[in-house]
Amino acid sequence: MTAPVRPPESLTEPPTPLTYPGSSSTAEVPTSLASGLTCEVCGAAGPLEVAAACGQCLGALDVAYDLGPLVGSDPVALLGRRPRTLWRFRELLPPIDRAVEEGLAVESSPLRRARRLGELLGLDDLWIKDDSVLPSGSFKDRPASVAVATGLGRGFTAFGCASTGNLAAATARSAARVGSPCLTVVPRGLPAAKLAPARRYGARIVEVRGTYDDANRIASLVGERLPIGFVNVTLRPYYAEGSKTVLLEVLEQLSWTPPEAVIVPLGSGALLAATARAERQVTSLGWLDRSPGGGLRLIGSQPEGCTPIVDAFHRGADRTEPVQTPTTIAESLAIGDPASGPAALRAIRRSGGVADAPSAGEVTDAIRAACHREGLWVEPAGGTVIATARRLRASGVLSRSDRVVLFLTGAGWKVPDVGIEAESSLPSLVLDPRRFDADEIARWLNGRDDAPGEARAW
Amino acid sequence: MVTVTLGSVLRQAALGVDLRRFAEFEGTVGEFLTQISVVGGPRFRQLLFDGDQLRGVLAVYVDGVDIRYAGGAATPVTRDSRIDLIPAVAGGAGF
Repeated sequence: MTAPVRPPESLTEPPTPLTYPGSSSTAEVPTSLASGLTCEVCGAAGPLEVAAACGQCLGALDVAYDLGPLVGSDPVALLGRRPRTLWRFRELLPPIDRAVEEGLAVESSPLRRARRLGELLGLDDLWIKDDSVLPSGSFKDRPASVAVATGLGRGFTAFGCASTGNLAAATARSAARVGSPCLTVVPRGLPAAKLAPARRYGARIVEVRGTYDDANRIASLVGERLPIGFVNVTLRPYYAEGSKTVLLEVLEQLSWTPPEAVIVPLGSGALLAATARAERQVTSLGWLDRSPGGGLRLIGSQPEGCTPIVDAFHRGADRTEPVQTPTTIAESLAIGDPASGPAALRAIRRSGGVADAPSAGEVTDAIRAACHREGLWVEPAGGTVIATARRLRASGVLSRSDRVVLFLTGAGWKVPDVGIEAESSLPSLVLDPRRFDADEIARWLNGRDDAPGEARAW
Repeated sequence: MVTVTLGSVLRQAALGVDLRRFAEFEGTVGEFLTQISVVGGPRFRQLLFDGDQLRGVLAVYVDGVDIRYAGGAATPVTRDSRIDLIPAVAGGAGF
C-alpha cells in the first residue's frame, strides 16, 4: 500500500493530482461542473480542496457548481445511456478520477409503489425509495463513495468516519473497494449487527464511551493528527454531495415530475439539506416537469427522544438546541447536535414542508407495517419516516391523493431486536417429527386470534 | 499544564502564536479564549468571536466536555485542563 500522505491544509494550495491505487490514470472526469467551495454562513468562495470549514468564519462549506453549460439540456438524452449508478449524475457531483468510477459505483436503488402500505396510511399514491438494498445496507453508501473517490484524488490513502453504525459500514466498504485501510469511531453500545459489516469489511473500530457527538469530536481531533480522510469531517463538503443522488434518482424514476412531498429522516440534517440542493439544481437546469404551482415539500422526521431539529422548527428558531443525551430506538438518528440542522430548517421552511417527531411506539408499529404490507424490513429510521407519513395524513397535512415518496434509508437486519417484542409473542410451534400431525398445525395456525398487528387469518 | 488543540483552520490563523505562555492559566474558558484571541491577532480573533460572542460554529471542549453542557463561557479552566477548539462542521454546532 502507498505510504500515507498528509493532506494539503492551505486554503490556497492547489489540489494534488488525482490518483487511484492500481491505476496510472490522473485524468479528472471532465464533466463535473463543480467550480469551488462556498461557505454556507458567510458566502466566502474558495477552490476545490481539502477543507471542512471556512477560513473566514468556520462555517460549513458546500460544493458550488457552474451549471451554465447544462441549463436547458434534456436529462433523458443526457443520462440515457449511462450506467445506472450514482456517477450518472457526474455533472452534479465533485470531480473524480474516471478510474474510480467502477470501483466506487453505487447502483441506483429501486423506487417502488407501495399500494398496501398506502392503504393503511390513507395515501393513494405512496412510493418507497428503498436504499436498504444498497451494498452496505443503507443510503450512506452514496456519500461514502463520493467522499472516498474525492479523497483519493486529494492524496488520502486511508479513510475513516464518525458514525452511528451505517456510515461505518459504508465507509469500510468503500475503503475496501479501493484497498485502503479504514478507521471508524462509534459510540459504544451499538447493536452487534450494526457493526458487523464494518468489521467484515476490515475496518478498525474505536468505541467511545459516550454519544455520537463525542465520537464525532474524537474523529475531528484524530483527523488533525493522522493523515486519514474522515469522510464526514475532513471530506464533509464532498461527502454531503453524494446524498443528493437519492432525490436525483427519484426524480429520474418519476420522469422528472416531482412528487408533492418527500419524507426524509433527520439525523445531522445533511440528507435533507442535500435533497434541497439537488432540487434547486435540477430546477435551475429546467429539468423538472412541474404542474403550475406544484412544489416539492420537504418533510423531515426525527424520532421521539432526539428531536433538536423538529423542536427548532416548532419554536420558529433558526438554530437547534442540542440534546446532550439522546434516548431513541432509532440510533442512526441519535445525533443530539446536528451540524446541518440550520440548513435543514431553512430547506424545510422554504419548501413549505414540516418537521415531525413520532413516538417510539409509532415507529415500531410502522416497521411492522412495512414488513407485513410491503415485505420490507427497515431500520427504525425508516419506521420513523413511515410513522410521520401516517401522522401527517391523519392530521390533514398530507392529502389522500398526494404523491408522497418515503426515503427509507436503511435495512432492518442491522437492528434486529427493535420492535421484535410483538413477533416474539408469536412463538414457533415445536414439533416432534415422530408424532407429526397436520391437524395440530392447522389448529395452531387458526388459534392465532391474539396475533397483533397485521397477522393474517388462515 | 493547560494544553490546547486547535483545528487546522484555527491553527493556520494562529501560526506563530505560542500558546504555551498560557500553560499556567487558571480562570474561566471565556477569559482564556479572550486572552489567546488578543495575542493571536485579528484573524484568529475573528474565528473565535462574532463581535463579543463566541462563534456559533466553534465547538469548545474543556476536558472533553462541550462547554454548553458545562458552564458555558464560565466553565472553569485549571492548570491541568485540556481545551479543544474545533469547527462544528460534523457534529456540535451552535451555542
